[in-house]
Amino acid sequence: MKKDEELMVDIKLGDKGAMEEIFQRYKKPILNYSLRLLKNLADAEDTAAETFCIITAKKDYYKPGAKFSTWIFAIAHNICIDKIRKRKKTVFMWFKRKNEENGYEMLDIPDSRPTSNERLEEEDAASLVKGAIETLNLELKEAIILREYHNLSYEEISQVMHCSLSKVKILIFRAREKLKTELVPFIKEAQ
Amino acid sequence: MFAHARIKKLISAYLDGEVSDKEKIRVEEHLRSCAKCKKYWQELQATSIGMKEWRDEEISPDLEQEIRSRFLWQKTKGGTMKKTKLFAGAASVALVTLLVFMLAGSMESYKRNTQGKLAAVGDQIGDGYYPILHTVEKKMRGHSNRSMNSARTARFASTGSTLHLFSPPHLTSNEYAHNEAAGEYGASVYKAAVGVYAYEDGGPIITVQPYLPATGTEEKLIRTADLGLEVNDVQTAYDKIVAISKDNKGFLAQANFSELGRGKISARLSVRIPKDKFETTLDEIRKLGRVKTFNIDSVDVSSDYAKLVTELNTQKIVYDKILEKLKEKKTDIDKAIRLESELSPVTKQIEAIKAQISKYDNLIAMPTITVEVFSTNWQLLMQQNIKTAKERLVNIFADLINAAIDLLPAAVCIILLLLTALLVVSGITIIIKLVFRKKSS
Repeated sequence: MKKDEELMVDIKLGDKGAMEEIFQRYKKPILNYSLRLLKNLADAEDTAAETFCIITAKKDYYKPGAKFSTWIFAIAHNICIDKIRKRKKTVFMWFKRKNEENGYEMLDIPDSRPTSNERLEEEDAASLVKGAIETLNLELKEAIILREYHNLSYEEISQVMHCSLSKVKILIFRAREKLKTELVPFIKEAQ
Repeated sequence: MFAHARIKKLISAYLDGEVSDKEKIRVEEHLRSCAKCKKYWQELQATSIGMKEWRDEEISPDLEQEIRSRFLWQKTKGGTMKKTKLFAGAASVALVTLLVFMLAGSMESYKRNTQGKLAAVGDQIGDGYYPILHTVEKKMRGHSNRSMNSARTARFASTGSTLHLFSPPHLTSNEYAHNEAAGEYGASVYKAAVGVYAYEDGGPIITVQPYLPATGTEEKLIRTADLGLEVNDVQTAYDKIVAISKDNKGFLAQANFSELGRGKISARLSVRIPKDKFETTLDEIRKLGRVKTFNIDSVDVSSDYAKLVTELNTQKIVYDKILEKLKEKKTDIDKAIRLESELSPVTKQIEAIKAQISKYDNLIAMPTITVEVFSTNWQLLMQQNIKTAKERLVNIFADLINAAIDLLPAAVCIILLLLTALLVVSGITIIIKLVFRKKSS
């Protein structure tokens, strides 16, 4: 199996199959990263689509030898930050609906699976984690998401977030400290 | 021993495998010895595992297809956004410029309208209202454009010698010759045979061959020179010309200094120079700047001078004869009184002729050089040009706004007509839809 970086070289040479392969590998991570940061499915879809658009359009800007995952997450990061900034600038004049924040309907995806006790417990646990992560500010949230859900190294996270390595260390440490207090039930269960 | 606060940070990094070998050993040693920190480490591990409860969302095939089609077929937003921003920036700059000029134009239009109304009111009252017009009187209209060639040259060939003199420019060569022959301009003793030849510069040349030799009086020429000089600094040039004239035993007869429009500064000087220093002084002055115009004129007054001398001599003879008669012993009182009364106008005549001769002597001995020095202040010229351009632009906008005001009623009528047409069309559409809906139902 070809590495991401090798596929990127093929994309530069105009290989559409390589682009499809990259899409298959990264569609889920990019969509979920955007979804966790933006909490809005429509925006997350937009971000994912834009990220892949930029990869095809700006393929010549990719430096051979650079880690591909860092590059793609950095692009998605920039788009997400841009969307968050725009959201702050937008003034919504309409009445707020349920599950709405800044005029955006927030994620609450219905599940068609039959409800069971186990399923309900799972849902409870997921919403507890979501709520805990929501208490974090954007920087802490992004750092811990990239680490815990996408397994990026501290070095890669610093490149994606355009900050220093020591800052990443502190961000992850603080995020964990906060989450530790929010996620007491899991800790008790583990003990 | 590590402080607990510091080791906690390291434990977080240890959990992710982001510590150096040295740090790893230290953390592990510490965890073995410190129960509190070990508990903290376990809590962090549990938190990390707990977080995994928020599972990844799967992408539905529809969504996947949509994203794929977008990135495969759509242009990047980034590029278009950049272009949009650029366009918006350029458009806003153009709009602001347009607004500034429109504002200036409307102010000018208002001013004009106000002035126009004031004029109308003034006329009605009978006082008459005249807007203040800034008339700039050009004190210096530049110098004569006459060049040396324009002066008609007449050459008199007398016995062996050639005399050069310049004739009055308003006469043609034939008129000159005629007048000359009639004694109006010259001594009546000349009986001239006149021939006209084409001169090499195109001007006529008159050759007069007198029957009698010249009167013997020396050449009497009143010489004048006009010079236009462009210099870098008018004041310096002015001082130098005054110094040159003094060095050549001349004097400054007349001077004036003026600042003309369009960044031009000018000074006009007349200096009188002794006859023998005329050429040398002229050469010295010419070297002070770039010569733009140059004109030397000579008027021959030899004949006039000779005439005056002759008349003076005649009057003197009359005077002597009257005086002689008066001195005779036979003269009775009546005759003496009559002679006395005849003597008085003769004396006056003699004095007048002497004054005229003296004036000629002065003009001949001290020729006049008139110099106009000027310089151009480019900075001032540019400023004035920019100001003019701005005023013109403002005037254009004022005219446009005035035209728009004039056309406003027509524009309103057109808009109203269009709106009416729109209303009628939409009304008809609604009616047709309603009819169709009723039919279908």
